[in-house]
Amino acid sequence: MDDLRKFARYFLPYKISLITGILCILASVVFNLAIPLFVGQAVDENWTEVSWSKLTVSALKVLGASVASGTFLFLQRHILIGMSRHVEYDLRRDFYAHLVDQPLSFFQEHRTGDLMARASNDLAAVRQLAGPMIMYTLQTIFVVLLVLPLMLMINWWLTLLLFVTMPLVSLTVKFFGQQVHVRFEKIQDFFAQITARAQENFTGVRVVRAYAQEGAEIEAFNELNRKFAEKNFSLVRIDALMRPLMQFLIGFGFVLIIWAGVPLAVRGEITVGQFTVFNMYLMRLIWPLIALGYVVNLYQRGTASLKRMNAIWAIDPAIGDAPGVQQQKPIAGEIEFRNLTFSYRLNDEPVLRDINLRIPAGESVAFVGRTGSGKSTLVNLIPRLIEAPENAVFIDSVPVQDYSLAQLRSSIGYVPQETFLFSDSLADNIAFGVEKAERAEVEWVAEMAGLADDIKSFPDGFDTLVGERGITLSGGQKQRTAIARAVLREPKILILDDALSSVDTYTEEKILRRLRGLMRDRTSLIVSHRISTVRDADRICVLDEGRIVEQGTHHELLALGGEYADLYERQLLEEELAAT
Amino acid sequence: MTRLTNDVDSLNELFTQGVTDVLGDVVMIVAIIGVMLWMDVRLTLVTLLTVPMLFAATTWFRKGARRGYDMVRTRIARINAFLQEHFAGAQTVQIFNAEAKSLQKFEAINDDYRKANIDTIFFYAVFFPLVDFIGAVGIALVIWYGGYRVMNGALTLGALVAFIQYSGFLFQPIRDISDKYNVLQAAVVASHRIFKTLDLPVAIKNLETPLKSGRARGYIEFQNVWFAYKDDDWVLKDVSFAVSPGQSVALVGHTGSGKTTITNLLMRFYDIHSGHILLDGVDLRDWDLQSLRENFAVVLQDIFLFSGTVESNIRLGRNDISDERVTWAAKEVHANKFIERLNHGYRTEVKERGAGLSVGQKQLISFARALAFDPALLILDEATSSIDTETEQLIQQAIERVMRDRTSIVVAHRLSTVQRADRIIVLHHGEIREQGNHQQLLAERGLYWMLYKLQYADGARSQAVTTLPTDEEEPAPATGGLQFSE
Repeated sequence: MDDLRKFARYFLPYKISLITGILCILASVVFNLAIPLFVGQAVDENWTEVSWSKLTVSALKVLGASVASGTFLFLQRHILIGMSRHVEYDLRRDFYAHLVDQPLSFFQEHRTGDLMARASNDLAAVRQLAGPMIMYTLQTIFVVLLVLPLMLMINWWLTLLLFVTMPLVSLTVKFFGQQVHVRFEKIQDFFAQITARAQENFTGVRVVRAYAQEGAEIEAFNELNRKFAEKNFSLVRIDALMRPLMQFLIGFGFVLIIWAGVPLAVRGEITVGQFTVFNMYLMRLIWPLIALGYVVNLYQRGTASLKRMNAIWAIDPAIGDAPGVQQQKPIAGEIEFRNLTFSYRLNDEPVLRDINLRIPAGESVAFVGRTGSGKSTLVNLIPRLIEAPENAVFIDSVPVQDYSLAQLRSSIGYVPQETFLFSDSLADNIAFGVEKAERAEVEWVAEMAGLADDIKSFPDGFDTLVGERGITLSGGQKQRTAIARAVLREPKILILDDALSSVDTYTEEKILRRLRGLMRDRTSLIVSHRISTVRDADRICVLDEGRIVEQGTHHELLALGGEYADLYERQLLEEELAAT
Repeated sequence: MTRLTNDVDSLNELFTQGVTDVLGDVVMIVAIIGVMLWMDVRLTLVTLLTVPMLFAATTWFRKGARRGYDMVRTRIARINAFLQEHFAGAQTVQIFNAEAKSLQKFEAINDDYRKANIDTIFFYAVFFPLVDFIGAVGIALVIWYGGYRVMNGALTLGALVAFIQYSGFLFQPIRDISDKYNVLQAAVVASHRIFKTLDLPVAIKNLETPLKSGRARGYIEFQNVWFAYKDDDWVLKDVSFAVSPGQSVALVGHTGSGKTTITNLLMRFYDIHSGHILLDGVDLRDWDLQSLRENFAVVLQDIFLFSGTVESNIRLGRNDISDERVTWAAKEVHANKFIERLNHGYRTEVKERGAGLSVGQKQLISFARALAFDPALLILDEATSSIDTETEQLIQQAIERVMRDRTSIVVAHRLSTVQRADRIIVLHHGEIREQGNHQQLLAERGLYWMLYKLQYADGARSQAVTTLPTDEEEPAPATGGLQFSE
């Protein structure tokens, strides 16, 4: 119920539409129910003596009522279904706005597929709640409420007979409709599986062929296909049961009217016209009764979906601005870690232990260490991609949590391990993090990142689309795009989180040389497992199991003869091996 | 892809809700019209005047609704693509403070979708009242003209009342049929397309009675092979070489020199234009295709894992490979350590295209796959992306292990692999320019020496190189320069 109350707020901006729409339903129902009355009147008026003029008037009345009812029916759909689309728009926008503020941990917990399901299937179900359900419910209520007294006025016995039997139609639809829906969903899911399987085989065709596994794949596909057919049969069987049953129940209604009504008409208790009216009302009741069963299902599905969406809505972004956060002085770039011990979950083994490190503004510091040594986690704490404990990470002696996210992050250029490019032009991808960028600036940073030559060779230069609808960039090109993107923001702090791993050493050196000039008075942090990337840093920190075990320049660390020297030896050895 | 799914779907729709219903409807219509005709021919004809109107209205609606539906579909697809991308890239959006900017973009495509939907409502909003109206016209006609007939004494009033009822009953089945007619049409078009696909000839065919099958010894010979993917755009020009069983050959050359093509031809993904390719002295075209390909194992640079378990990816559908053999193969290439650390070990589910596994791990799995198949010949298209030092060592060991005792053709990127090869073939513009081992070729001071100087020597000057300087593996537009990748 709480879910629904929250949902009701979405109708507030559209309350005028809602009210107008409801009035249209009422008007349409009234005119539509007038038609049988006019027909009945025509029959009775002309029963003893036929009058051409009276007939013409009746025919025109029927047409007139129909035009009026149709017009309101048009308006009703247009207004109410249209409103549901507006509500859907608002819901979807808010859903996205809510999710885009969520931290990394949220997306690790909720799989993209699950979130997508909520944004598409659940949202669609909720939309049905907002539009069709309201419309059909009110339509049914109005029809029943208006028809009931009209029918009672003609004959209470006939009316009673119908209202005892006809709700069975609604029950049939409700029961079987749910079954149909469940089976249909299963079929859809399964169909997605089949499509995925086929797609996989098309994409991986070289592997399948190369291993001569066509036979096995075809067999597996046939198996899927057989199951798909079975599931379809189960749907058809239910459907084949539901339709005749409905037909039967409706037919039964007409039989009842004839069985009970004809004697009444013969005895003169009702007129032939009234008998006709009754018949026509029954016809007009059929759809609302079917709709009623359908609506109950819509309601159940819609509220279940609403609950699922609200569950996401209830999660406040774990990383956000502290209440009353204030704009701090512009960031100069000094970073300090004070007694930092960090673990992802409360009782987990710490990933970082007793880190104490001060990096003056303008220094370049590199972090090396094995996979899992904590170097990525350490740099992720600075832009608050991961939340550090309080009073452990400082920028310009201010705890990171005391900055607004906007101020903090706009001072940082961050190049992650896995580059994420959007399906957009290259220029837009590079200018992703800035309000507006001149083409000249974009070209300049592309040059800095060693990307300019690649871009020249693309069909549309900087306007070339990348991603799904465009070309696929190589790993190295992606990483260089990410570097250009970060540099364009002119950050005070530049963080390269293993950002050159797919770039060859030769290009890497060129990029680093250019960046060094650019970053002279800025702080830069470089995470890498390659000596070549880190050797020229002002300071190199070696991490092992969450601790800084060595610190110093390349030469100092070599002289120390510890972990770093070891790593260097190993990489040197490989090189020598390669050269002989 | 659309042909496979959508068209089959249209046919399916026809069978599940088409035929049976249409039959029922036809019976209903024939019965009602029969009774009506028996009662009054002229009034029946007047009543049926509404049928063409109904047909026209339904056709108009179907067309409009379909067009609208297509539009709605493409736009919801855009929304889904956007969401998928931005959920996956949420971290990037945040780190660049692009939340507001992305929301603006999303609002635009969300609005497009809303517009498409509202446009579609129009068709529905007109159609349903229109059908009701046509129904009312029918009733009005019956009253009006029927009344006239009653007045003339050609019809009893009771019959008129019955007519009013019948015209109501007639309506539903006719509406159904005009609806189904469109489904039928779509199904006809779809089945036409499906059968066209089924009738396409398969380009690479087996001989009726293949001359050779079974396990190969691994002797490969190319004799004056010419090949082009299209027209006269020769990719291989007069290529000849031989590889003895157990030997390993590294193919090197820059982008577009024809290295990968050679491996494709060996497995007969394409047929050559002139010359011969022989395996164990038998022309590939005389080999049983299935058996020919079973002789090869391939490790491609773009590792492709299928959804399923780690185990099923090693086995790749060959159920005669025992569990022991799977674990043995994994152990041989040192993949067992990380596999056993996974949540469910060998039974761990591999997600979409191997998400969750590192590049190096995926490579190790594909080596295990190759080893488990124990082929007579190995084709290795080396990956170029760099991995951390320890995994890199594992991979080099794995390569060595997999190549042992079998004929191997390697499109090489790693210096270590090139050097280990028994022979290096240097390709340039589809021709073989140099052949020999590492030392011989360096001594020749030719193309190989140049490639080596440009690539390895420069990069290896002062720092450790674990990979070769090539990162343009995928689109590879003419960036110029010599590369060891394709």
